[in-house]
Formats: sequence, structure tokens, C-alpha cells
Amino acid sequence: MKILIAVMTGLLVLVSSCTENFEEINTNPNAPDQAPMTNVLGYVIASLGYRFGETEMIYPGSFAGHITKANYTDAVVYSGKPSSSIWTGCYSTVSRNANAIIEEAIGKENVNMQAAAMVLKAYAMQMVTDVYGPCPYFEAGKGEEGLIHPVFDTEEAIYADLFDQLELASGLFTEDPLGGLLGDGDQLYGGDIARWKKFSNTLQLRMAIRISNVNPQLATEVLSRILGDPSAYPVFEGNEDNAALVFPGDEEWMEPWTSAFRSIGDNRIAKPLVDSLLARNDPRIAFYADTTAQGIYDGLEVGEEGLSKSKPGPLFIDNPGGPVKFITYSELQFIRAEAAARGLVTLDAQQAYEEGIRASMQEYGIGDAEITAYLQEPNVAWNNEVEQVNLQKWLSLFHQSWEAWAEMRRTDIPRLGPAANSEKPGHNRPPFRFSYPETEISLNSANIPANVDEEDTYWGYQIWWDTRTGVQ
Amino acid sequence: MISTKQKTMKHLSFIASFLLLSLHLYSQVEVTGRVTDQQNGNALLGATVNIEGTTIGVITDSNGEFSIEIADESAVLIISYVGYETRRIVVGSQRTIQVALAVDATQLEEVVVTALGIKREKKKLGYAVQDLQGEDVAETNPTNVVSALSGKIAGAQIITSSGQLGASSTIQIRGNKSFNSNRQPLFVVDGTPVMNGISSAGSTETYTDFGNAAMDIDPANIESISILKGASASALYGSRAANGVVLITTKKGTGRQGIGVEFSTSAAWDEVYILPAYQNEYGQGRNGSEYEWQTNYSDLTYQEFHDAREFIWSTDGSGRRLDWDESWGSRLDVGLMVPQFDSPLDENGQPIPTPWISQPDNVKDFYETGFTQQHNLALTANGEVASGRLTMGYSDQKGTSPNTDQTKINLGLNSRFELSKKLSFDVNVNYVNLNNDNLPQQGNSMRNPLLEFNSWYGRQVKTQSLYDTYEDIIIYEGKEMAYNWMMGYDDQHPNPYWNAYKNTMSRNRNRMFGNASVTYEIMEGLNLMGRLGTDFFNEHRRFIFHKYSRDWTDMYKNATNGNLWEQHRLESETNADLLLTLDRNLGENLSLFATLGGNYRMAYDQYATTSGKNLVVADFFSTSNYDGEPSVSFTQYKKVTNSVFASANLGFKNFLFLDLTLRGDWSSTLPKESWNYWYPSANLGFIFTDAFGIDSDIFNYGKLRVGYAQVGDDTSPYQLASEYYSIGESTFNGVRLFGTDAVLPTFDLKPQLTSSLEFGGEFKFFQNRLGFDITYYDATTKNQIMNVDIPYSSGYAGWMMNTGSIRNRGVELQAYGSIIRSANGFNWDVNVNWSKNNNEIVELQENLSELRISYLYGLYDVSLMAFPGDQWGAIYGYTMARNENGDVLIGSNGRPIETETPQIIGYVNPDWIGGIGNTLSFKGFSLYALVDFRKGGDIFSMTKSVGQKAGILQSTVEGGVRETGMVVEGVYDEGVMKDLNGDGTSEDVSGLPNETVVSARDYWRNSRNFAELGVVDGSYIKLREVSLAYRLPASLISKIGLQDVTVSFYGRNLALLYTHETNDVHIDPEVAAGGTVSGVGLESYQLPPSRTLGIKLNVKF
Repeated sequence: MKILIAVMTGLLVLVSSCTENFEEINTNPNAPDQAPMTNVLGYVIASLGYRFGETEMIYPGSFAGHITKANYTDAVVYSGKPSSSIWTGCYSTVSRNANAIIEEAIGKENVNMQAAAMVLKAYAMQMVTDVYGPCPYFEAGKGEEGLIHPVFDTEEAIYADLFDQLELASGLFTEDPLGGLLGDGDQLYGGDIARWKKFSNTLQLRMAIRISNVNPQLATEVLSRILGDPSAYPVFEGNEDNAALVFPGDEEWMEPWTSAFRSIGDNRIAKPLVDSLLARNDPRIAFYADTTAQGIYDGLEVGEEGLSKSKPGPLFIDNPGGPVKFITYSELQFIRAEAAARGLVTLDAQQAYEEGIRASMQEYGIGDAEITAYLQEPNVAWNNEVEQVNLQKWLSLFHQSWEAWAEMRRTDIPRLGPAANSEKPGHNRPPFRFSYPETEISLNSANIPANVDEEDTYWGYQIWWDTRTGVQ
Repeated sequence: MISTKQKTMKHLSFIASFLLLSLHLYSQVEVTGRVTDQQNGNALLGATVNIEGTTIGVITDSNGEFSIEIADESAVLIISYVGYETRRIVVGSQRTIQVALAVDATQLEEVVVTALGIKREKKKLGYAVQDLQGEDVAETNPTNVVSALSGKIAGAQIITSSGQLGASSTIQIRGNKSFNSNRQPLFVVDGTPVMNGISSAGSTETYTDFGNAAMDIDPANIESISILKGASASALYGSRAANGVVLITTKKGTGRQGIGVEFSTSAAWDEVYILPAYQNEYGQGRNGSEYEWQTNYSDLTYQEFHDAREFIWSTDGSGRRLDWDESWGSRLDVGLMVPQFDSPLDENGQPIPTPWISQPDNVKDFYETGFTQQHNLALTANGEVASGRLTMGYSDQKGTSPNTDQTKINLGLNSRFELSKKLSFDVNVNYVNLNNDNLPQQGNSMRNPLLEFNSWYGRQVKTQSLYDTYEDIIIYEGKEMAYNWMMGYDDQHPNPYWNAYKNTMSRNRNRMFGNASVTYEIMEGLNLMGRLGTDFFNEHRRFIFHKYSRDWTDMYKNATNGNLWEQHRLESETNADLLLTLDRNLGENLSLFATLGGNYRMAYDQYATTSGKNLVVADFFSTSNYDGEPSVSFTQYKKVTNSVFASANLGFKNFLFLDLTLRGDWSSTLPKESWNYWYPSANLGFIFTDAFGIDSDIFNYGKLRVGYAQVGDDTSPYQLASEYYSIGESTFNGVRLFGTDAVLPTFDLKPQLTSSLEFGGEFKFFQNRLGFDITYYDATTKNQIMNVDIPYSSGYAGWMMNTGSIRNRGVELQAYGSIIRSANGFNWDVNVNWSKNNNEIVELQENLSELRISYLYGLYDVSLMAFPGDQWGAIYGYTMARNENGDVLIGSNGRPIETETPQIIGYVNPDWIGGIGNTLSFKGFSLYALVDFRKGGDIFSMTKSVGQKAGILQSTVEGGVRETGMVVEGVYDEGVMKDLNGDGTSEDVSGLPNETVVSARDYWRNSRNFAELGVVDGSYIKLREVSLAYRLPASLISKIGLQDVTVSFYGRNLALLYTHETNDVHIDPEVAAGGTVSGVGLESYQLPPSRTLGIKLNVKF
């Protein structure tokens, strides 16, 4: 028994004293618990630019009549549910990491870093609410505070706060060296704070024009405030200010449309876009589309099969190191033109309209002579019609499908129907929204808003700013 | 020593004489005799009669008779028989000898190996242990010890990831206890745990199954296997035993005096024996069915229709293009002439049309006859002080997939040194080298040829033509491309031979495992043992990818000059044990067997991986040739567990036994507050036949068992803190990207706990000729540590927490019977095992109404789910909507409507499983056959789901639907309008039976959204193993100094005797996509299983 007791005591002493380095053993040697803010900023920008995969090309791209699928048409005929990557990416990649940056930047008094993260987060959250409608906002991204089931907020409340956030961010940006640096991770502007401030203000204009039908008062207030005071509110002054992310082009970070095309390769340019370009002798067609074996531009009806139709141009599907545009100078000009044409602000609508077209064409290196000729085309030349602005905006937003689809829903221009061979009959317009991701419905069911008809997958709700009537 | 040397020389000469087939004849006096059972006088067949001091011996025949020649009258015969006491007889002047052997009482007690390698009498245990002898697993010469357990263990489900060489096999005992992927039992060899990790069965990076690490254990070297199934049996192994323990004892040198040699050699052939049911009526193409022709183009001939509609030819003059990868083309074997990829070319370089005919065996033709040779040599020596067994094994395997292979070298030394009566030590070392020049690639990857064969490979494609041209590079649409049966789809549809020969995954592993222990007898019955065991291996994996490969997989998108991926792995586990055992009688009726011990365990793994974007010099595979910066990663994982444990077995009068255990663990993976946890077990065994003196000829043994036990469990390393992770392997324009962990950690993790209750009984009848062992268990695992999905809007994808409890209840039955024992030596033995497990998710974390265990098939939202109150592993996906009567709802297009929400469309758990083994023996012949079966257990089959969409399966032509079109059975959905009267006005037809004719193409191409159409019931009956062995008569072989010569013919996986009707795709229901949780219930382009036939020679002397 003595031996037993001795051995037992010995063992107990031995094992319990051997726990002193357990915490060290269980410290992850493969991942740090700290990372420089700039490297996290780089991730937020890169993932937002990548748009979380091929979703953009397939869903809003086909809804907007820009690009479609020629073989595996399931998604473009609304079979099943839409991809959830924009939701999951904006919340768990962009917002979580932006929150981490903001928190740390406040602690380190790097106001520029704080403001840049706020702008990116606002950009992402506008995308989410424009795609889904009501969504978690004020309680979102707070898992570490125990908020596992955030409530959904209305688009109205979200937009109101997004304006505040951007206003705050614009005010924070400073070129004073004490304001802090963005570092190598700033892949949008290479640390140029002045252009970040323009980005922030221009984004406010995008939001303002979006809500101009539903809350003209607020829209007008924002438009006049920003457009009326260029020194306090600098906005884009040329294509060099465009918020565009150029991809490195390696297999891991390849421009998303090229990457998507390389996986299946059945993406074709859509008929509405090709027909509109052809009808206007638009020189951009040579960039947007490739000719068929017959040597013509031949767009594919969304929902039809047809691999022999025109592919998108190589600039978009064979350009691994190509850019993704967040928002451009030409869009700013179309916003100005619309605001002027609708009398929301006082400025020269025609000049803005033509500058918008010019800027869009210059993105492709199209020469002045061609642009001038184009501006004389009968259905291009300024006619003092808002519809013209919206159509040109739609033509220029190729490869910015989320925005193109949102603007189409707001303006009903161009007026498109649902896909041919639609799996969801009974509609007269392309989809109004994405239905919420399955994970959100099952894991946060108590908070899913009752006024959204989830069963009508793509159409069950018109986003707050979508004031179209007679659409279904 | 001299005599030993002489003996050795003699043995060597015997080896030589055997190998040269020259006979040494010994002369002289002949002695005959008969060996019988002392108790009943029955003849004993197969008793050994040896001449002492020599290796000469014979074996008795069916009458118990023998005949042996002795040198002179001083010879001494040693007569032995398993289970009987050995007798020694001096011949003297006798010429006929009658020997009656007495039953050896000590050997009647069945001894099994239990926890910590301690041998215990089975009757004294209070829990279920199933044991197998070495020959039970080695009978048909398996290459993987885990797959060799199929059908032999009650309550264990064996799943193989594929039917190809090197495939991993997993074993799951008593149902799914956890939501985590680690559900494998612990493997222990000679007292020390060995690793049985499974890696990369279907990972996105490599798509190669590198097998389960326990396959390094040489089945030929196994003495016995004990399976400890419940928590009671495994409490002493701690956390990792929560899923059961497989204890393997290797053969030792002890037990036989002098030197022994055992040699075996075998050759086996493999052929693919299960392939999907492909259709052979329609070829590749877009919409060329007779239905389409007759409906819309009946004014054309079929040939005209085909020429006008089906083919779009390249405009570059290469004449090689078939622009559609599905099989909705024109009818085969009806006289169509079509320019094809292997058509001869005319003077303008245009293909000359050739007959459009089916190639029913084009997939089978790709596969070759596999061949395996195995050779094993074992030398045993047993002396005064030392005994040992040295084993050498070599096997060489060529797979049925072209250019796949595996060679394995095993070396092992098992030795024991008895320095004094009190002090002894054991050393047991194994070395394994495993080498594959190329392993088969699998899963949902273009590198898996079955992805092509089962979906996109036209039924008209002639495989030989692909073999003949697979290295050809041609100019197509201005681009250099590898020649193929389909030239469109630039980055897809690789020629299967290209992948087989050009894009190879090699692996080389060097592994050592073993232990050394010292045992000291402190006093009579009190022993102290110290043991240090280790298992470690280095493994090198290398994937090469040639220029011109077609593969859209992310990693290789830019690899225009080829690519290279290499990984070095080091995995190790070290265990140190200190164990005090006490064995003593506490008075006349009370015995005590107690242990007290401690264990230190450390697991350390590291992985170093290098890959590049592209190569500079095409097809030169070296890290020095990467174009630009390569991606390099190095990761390591470490975990330490300290434990103390104690057990006591109290025996009363040899019929009542109480077992008590207690264990405490300290785990480095848990927070300080909970890293120490304790768990107990108690078992009672009662042999009522002994207690009440029951011993009739009919019922001679009965035992009842009851036990309760708990087993705690920890988690993997580094789960307690939130970290920043480097995103991906490359940088973004030179900037390394970092993101925060998407899993929210919980700081108050508690250990997981399994509590189980077990009842059982063991009953033997007719003097042990018939026996049953039945067990009922009820085990609940709670506080599961897992990553729970939370809404993304929380900012996180998951939350690491304690959640949920799972209950498994089940019955296991083992039975054996000696059906026939005849005096003429004809015997028939049957072994049956059967088990049923009921699984229930008792609860999940509050607020959690469902839990996604894994995605089965991400693209189409088929998941493996857990719902409270339901069983683990519901297959969940969108499918066809039905009304309250269960009728499928049909839309105006004549096709089913999809459900708005996912539905449960199956359960992965089998209803019950079992196996029946029969052994027939007569004289020297022995015939063994094993049939195993499974009832239920659904599988979501990608082969079926995608193959139907692609029109390649038999189900897509069944019923002549491509000639007539089809009407889907169902009723019209609400709001469907049809013009029924033909008066031009539509009326509401909702609820009326569907009458709309659709083409087969229209229906099946849209069928993939209906996940239920991809589900098959996994029931099967398989003829698993058959062997016919012939043991040469002792009288013949003893003349050349041999002890035993056996020749056997064997077969494994001989026939799939039954599958369920829903398995019309004809997949092997047993083969799942890998050993991880995500692989359960999913068939993902399974590699075709092989049937093995072999011959084996076994010689002992």
C-alpha cells in the first residue's frame, strides 16, 4: 500500500505540475493575434473588389441585360436561390475586418485609416441593402459583444446612417501628417487621402440620387450640399480619381470576371446591351463584346442557350490583371446630369451628360473624334430627357453590374422583361431583389421581416427606393 | 550455443532444400499411432506429433492417426493440440502408440487483450469486447487492416473512400457520437497508440486520397485484434477512446522453443467490377433525340436532321469540334455517319464521317488488370533470456487505374528479454516505407477521370483512340492544345490518359512506430512497468501538372507552362506510461487485480508546402523553376495531455467480477478552468452458470454484464483565441493580406462528455458449440465542442462552443455455431454478427433549430443536417414540391415545381448492418466465405445527379423516353392554365393529372435542382471474402522438415449481390467520398471498386 500511495502521489504531483506551459503550447504559432492595419485594409479592399466571386457577373449582370450564360443557364433563369456570397462577404469579411480596423485606428488616432475603413464599410452596406432590402445594420457585426442574432433595420434607417457615416468620414480625412498613413494596403489610391475624400463624397451622391424618388428632400439636401461647395466637398474631377482596383492577376487574385470565365467559359454578351450599342453606333461595343465566328456582334437573349453568340470582349474575360471599378467619374457626371435635368440642383445638364459619356469612352481610350461623332448620333444627342441620362448610365455601367441593376430598378430604364425560359413565371421585370440566404433564414429566423415575401424568391419585395408601379 | 548454431544451419539447409525442391529422405523405424480426446475418446484431427530435438513432425489425419519415422528407439515424441495439454512420450520399443490428450484447463479460459495492453480473461470483463485472430483478418491478404474488418465486427461500420489502390477506410463504432470529423476509434499496437489520420480525401487542393495511416500496419504480422466498443472498455485510454479502441497485438517470438521460420508469398489480380449503368443509345450532342427529330423536323431524314442541327464545326478548318459536352445527341447504332474526333482526314484535312456507334465498354476499357505481389518472411527465436520475432514484408501493387502503383516495405522486430525472474524488458520496433509514384485522384475534380466518364464522356467515344493520341498537341483556333475528343471548352474535359500519365501525385512515407518497456516485479503479484512509445513519419507529396493540361481548378489557371506542388509532412505522437499492477487474492473467495498509472502524450505535426503560379521552363518540375515568387507555408500543431488513472477488478469466487476505473486528464487545448476533468466507470460481470452450478450438455455457460461509464474529450489546438489569418498563399500586388478569424471563440469551453450504459450477456450451448453474445448500449454525448454556424450578419460565420447532445442506442449481436463436427473430419462453422444503432439529436444550443454538419454539394445546396429530435445526418435539399396527397406538382411547362425550402430527403445512417462468415473444412481443405450487408443508409450521389442531367445514365433512356418524350407523373400546380378542349381558351387545370409531354432532355437537364433524384438507398449485400486453403498432409511435408505448408486461393469484393432499386445508377453503396464527416452520405464520382483474386503460399518450418 505504501508503494501505491507513493506512486499515486508522485504521479499526481507530476502531471498537475506539468500544466504550467499549457497556455504556451496552445498558443497558435501559425497565426498572429495582431496584424498591421494596412494589411487588413488591403484585404477589405481586395475582397470587396473581388465582389466575393462570380456572383456579380451571373446575377445582376444578367438581370441588367449586360451579360448572360450560354450553357449552364440555371442561375440566369432564376432556378433555385441566388448566391449568398454578397451577404456573407459584406458582413463577415468587409464589416468584421473594417470594424477591427476602425477600433484599432481610433485607439492609435489614425483618423485616415478610420475614415477609409468607414467608407469601405458604407460602400458594402449600401450594396447589401440595395440587393436585399431590410437587413441587419445597427446590431450587425457585433458577435463578440454577444449580439448573435441582430435585428433587421429598414433601408430608410440604414441610408440615413450611411449618409452620416460618410459625412463623418469625409470630415476625418486629413492630409495633415498627424492624421496617419494608409500604407501599402491602400490598393485603391496608394495612400492619397485627397482622393479618398472625393470617393467618400461621390459615394454620398450615388446614395442621394438613389433615394431621390422616395425621399427627394434628403436627396436634394445632400446633392446641393456636396455639389454646391467643391472646396468643402471635393468630388471626382476626372477618370484619374476613379475608385478602381487593379488586380495583380495571379491565380489567387485574378480579376473576377476573367476568373469566372476561366472556370466554365459559357458567359456571353447579352442581347439588350448589344442591341442598344449597335442602335447607337457605340464604339464601346468593340470593347464590351467580341465578334462571333460570322464576324458580327450578336448578343444572346438572357435565358437562352447559345455558345455561338458573342463572347464578352477580352478586356473583360481574358484580362487577369484588369480593374474592378467601385465608382467612377462618368457616374458622377450622370448623377449631376440627372439631378440637373430633374431640377434638383442647378447646373448644366447637357454638359454633365456629355462629360459622362466622354469620360466613359475615355476609360477605353476612345478618341475625341469618335466621341464627338457619337454625341451627334440621333438617339444620343442631348434632348433634355432624364431617360437619356439613365440609358447612357446603364451603357457605361458595364462591369459594374450591382450598380447597373440597382439603377435599372430605380429608373425602369432600360425596360427589360424577365429571362426567357424563366423558372419563375408570372413576372414582367427582371428580379427586384435577392432572397435572404438560407443560413440567415434558418439561423436568425425570428428577425426576418414579415413584409418581405421570401417565397417569391427574387420578387417578393420592392426595395424602398424602387418606386416603380405596375411591375411584378 | 554451438547447438543453436547447428540448428540454424539445419534450418537454412531446410530452406534451401525447400526452395530447390529437393527432398531429403530420412529412413529407419516407422511408428504409427492415434491421438484422441481423453474425455470422450474422439479422434483429434490435426494434432502435431514432433520428434523432440528435431524439426521433424507430422499431423494427425481425420481418424487421429499418424505415422512417423524415427531414427532410433531413444526418440521422444511431443504430441500437442491446441486447447489440450501437451504430452511427451518416449518411444522405446513401441511401434504403435495410443495417446489420449487431456483438455488444458488453463487454455480454455479465453484471454483477450484489454486497455493498456493488459491481457485479461474475457470472462472477468464486465463489458463487450470482440476479438479476432490474426488469420481472421489476414485470410484474404488485405492491404489495409481497416478494410479487412468489414463485416466482422458487430456494431462497426466500415466505409472505404474508393475502390482504388491506397484508398482510405474508416471505421465507426456504435453510431455517430459527434458533429466533428474525428469519429475514428483509437488504434493501439502492442500497448502504444498509433496514428490513423486520414488526409485529403477530396480536399480542394489535391483531390487525392492518401489513405488512413493505420494501413501501415502489416496484417500478416497481427496476432490478434480486440475491439473495445463502449466507453467502459475504453475509459482507460481517455479522450481519444470515446469512439472505441482497436487494439492490435502483433506476433511474438515466445511460445515455441528454438528457431522458427515462416514464409509466405502471394500474387493477386484486381479488376474493376462495379461501374455506373450508362446508357448506350444516344451519343454526345445537344438535342438530337428521335423525339426532337420526329416532333419538329420529321420532313428531314435522321441523317439530314443530325447534320443540320447537331454539330457546330470549327471555322478554322481543323474540323475538330463537338461543341456540346452532354449526351443529348443523336441516336447511336442506327446507321448515322458522323465526322468524329478520331475520323480519318481527307486531303483537305477534313474528317471523313465514320459510323456513329456506341462503345458500351469505353469506361471499362480505360481500366487495367491490377496486380499485387506480397512476400513476408518471419523468423522467430526463443531462448533462455531473449525471444524475438523479426519480420520482413514487401508488397508491390499496380492499380487498376492506369499508371497507379504502391510499394510497401515493412520491417519489424518484437523482442523480449527476461534478465531475471523479476526484471524484463520488451522492445518492439516497426519501420514502414510506403511509396506511390502516382496515386489515383478523386472527388469532384477534373483530375478524376470519373467526373468525365460519368457526366461528359460521350457514349460513342472510343477509349483506344484517346490512348493513341493523348500526347498529341495540335493547333486549334490558333491555340496549341492537347488533342481530345472534344476541343471546345478550352480549360475543361481533359483526356483521361493525359491526367493518368502527365498530372501525377506521388507520395513517399517513412514511418517508425514502436515502444520499449521495462517491467519490474516489486513483489509477488506487484509489477511496475514503464513504457515509452512513439509513432512518427515523414511524408513527401508531390503533384506535377504538365503544360497543355485542361483544368480550370483555381490553383492552375495561370499554369501555362505547368506547375508543381510539394508538401513535406511530419506527424508524430509520443506516449510515456507508468503503470503499477497488483494481482493478488484477498482471501479464499476474493481476488483483486488493480492498476494505477499515468500517461503523458504529446502530438506534434508540421506541414511545409510549396507551390507556384507557373513554371518558366515548361514541364521542368523543380522549385528553382517557379515563375515568380512561390507560395510557401509552414504550419505546426502541438497538443499535450497528461493523465492519471486507476482501476480495480474485484473477483468473487470466480463468478462475480466488479471493474472500477477512474481517469483524470489535463489537456492543453482547454482553458485553464476546465483543462482538468475526471471520469469514472463501473462494470459488473456475473457468470450465473458457475454461480448456480449449471453445466448441462445443452447450456454450459452464461454470463450477464452491466456497466456504466463516462469518457471526457477535449478539442483541437488553438481554438481559444481569435487570431488574424494570412489570407491565401499569395500577396496582393506585394501586400500580404490579413483578416480576422471568422470563428468567434468562446472562452469558457468545457470538456465534452460521453456517458454510456451497457447491458449484455454471453451464452454458450452444447459444450461451446453454439454461442451468443448480445449487448445493448445507450450512450449520450453532451457538451459537444464544435464550430456552430451563426448568422453572418453577426460578423462571424461560426462560434466555437459547447453545444448539443447526441444519443446513440443500439443492439449488437454476435453468434457462432459449429454446425457440423463429424468424425470423418468434415466441419462447418458459422459466425454471425449484426447490429442496429438508433441515433437521436437530443438537443442543440438554444436558439438553434438546425445545425449544418457539412455541405454535401455546395453548388446545389445539399447539406448534411442535424435537427433536434431527429437523427444525425439528414440529407437536406431543395426538391420537387408536392401537394398534401404527395402528388408531385407540375408547372405549365410540364416539369415539376421546386420546393421553396429545403426538405429532408434521406438519412445517412444505416438501419442495420451485419456479416455472416462460414468456414467449411475437410481433411486438409478449408473453405471460408464472408457475406456482409447493410440495410438502409442513404447517399446523395453526384454520379446520379449530374449524370442524369448530362444524359449519360441508363435512367435517361429508360422507357423509350428519347423516342416518345415523357409525361412526368403528378398533378398541375395551382394557377396552371391549359387549353384542354382545344378551343383556344385556357382553363385552370390545377389538381388535374399532368398530361404535358416533355422531352427527356427537358426533364433531365433540369433535374439537378431536385435533390431527391440524386439520392440512393445504400442497402447492399456483398460477397466480401472467399478463400479456399489446402494444408498439405503432415506426413508428406514432414519428410522434408517442414511443419506446415498451406496453399490458398482467395478473393475479396467478389460480387455485389444486392442493391436497392433506387440505386439504378449502380454505384457501390459502400464507397463514400472520404473519411471525413463531409464525406459521409456523399458519393462524388466514386472511383470504381475492384474485385481481387489471388493465390498464396504459406510455409512454416
